[in-house]
Amino acid sequence: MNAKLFSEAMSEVNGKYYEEAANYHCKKHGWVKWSAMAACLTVVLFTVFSVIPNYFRQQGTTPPDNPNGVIVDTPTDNPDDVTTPATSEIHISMDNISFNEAGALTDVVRIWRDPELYEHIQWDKDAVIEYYGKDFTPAYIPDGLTAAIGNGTARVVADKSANIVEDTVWLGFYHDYYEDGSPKLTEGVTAHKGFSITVSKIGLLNDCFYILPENEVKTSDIDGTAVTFGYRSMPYGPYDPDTHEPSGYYDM
Amino acid sequence: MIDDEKIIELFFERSEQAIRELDIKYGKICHNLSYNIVNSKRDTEECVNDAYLGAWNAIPPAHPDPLLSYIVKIVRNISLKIYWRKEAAKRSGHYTIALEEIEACIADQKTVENEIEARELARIIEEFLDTLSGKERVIVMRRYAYADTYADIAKRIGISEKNVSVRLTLIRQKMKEYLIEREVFV
Repeated sequence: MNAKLFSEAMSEVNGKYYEEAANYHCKKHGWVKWSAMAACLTVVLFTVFSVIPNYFRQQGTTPPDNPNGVIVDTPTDNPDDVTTPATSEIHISMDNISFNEAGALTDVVRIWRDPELYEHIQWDKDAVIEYYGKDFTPAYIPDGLTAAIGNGTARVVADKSANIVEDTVWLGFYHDYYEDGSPKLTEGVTAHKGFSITVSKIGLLNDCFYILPENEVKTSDIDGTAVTFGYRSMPYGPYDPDTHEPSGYYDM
Repeated sequence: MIDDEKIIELFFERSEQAIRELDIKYGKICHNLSYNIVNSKRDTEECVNDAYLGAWNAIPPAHPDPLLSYIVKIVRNISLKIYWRKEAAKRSGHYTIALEEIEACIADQKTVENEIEARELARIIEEFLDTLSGKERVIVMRRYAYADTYADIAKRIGISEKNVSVRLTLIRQKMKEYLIEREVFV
């Protein structure tokens, strides 16, 4: 077979397929209203769905008398020190965790900052900790995932009065990376395997969710911090010829 | 915009208003499709005008329903004739890229090319399309029937260009396996 035959065949397929393709337009997804959360510290975790439950179940110890997944981090001698997550004890029931199914994760349009009025500042890890009062490195990282280069550092924007106007910090934990440091797609299902954490005290994030229209974004209260958990899956075939229900879903 | 049935009535009345209404309603789709294939504004104009003339000559007695796919297919076929003629001299246009993608999926296989006709292959492709989700079907049709770019598809579907690329790669792989199973390849 050659491309010409294929092309001719495409001209012969039933008109209903042409109609469907001509009339299809994506549903208007509601952008997450980040401004509503601007006053509080906002943390977004975007992750392989299968990793999240494992993360919570394996971190610290899960008491055998608490099968619902309460997390107990190992306490340390200095419980008042909140600069590292391993020093605090947090109890979280999985019942209190809300997952948001995301249609897609995409870059929003970046704000253009006039260099006459703003400057970019590179923060090292210490500067990030000084600003946020804590290190966002997870106490537990699932096997097979490694930290991205530059985790914990940030490139922030300040105005000429030294007021921070963009304070986003991103940490990635993926199975592999391309040379430019971006997460590598897996060969099997061409998906990013891992998770990322995006943090902003101002509430201005560089990523946005397409939340599926039937859902509203739900945050989970993690020790006083509003955390938005997002996950995404992609259907795969063969599909039911009548209902078009997929055989299953890939974790994305 | 008037509905399709009213446009068909105008054709049956031999009113030239039929062509104007057809152009108002579906002209943009036809022009975009043709341009994606022939990559020339002048050729696009000729293809679309020829398609309108073809519809004028065919209706009546033809009573197409739905009208959109009818006129789109005429535009596509006329545009492809121009494309293959130009292709003999020079490779150009979005459609070349789309065909190169699909060639990677179907070429270099020993086929029963002379024994399978476009119409028969179309039925197999239809069966394959029925195994896909609605969104995947639209992606395939937009790419290989309407010759849309990844950017166009991404905008229409509401996903990233990269996601379009990944999905098309998976779909082409599935289609290749499907065609092998149906012995389109031997």
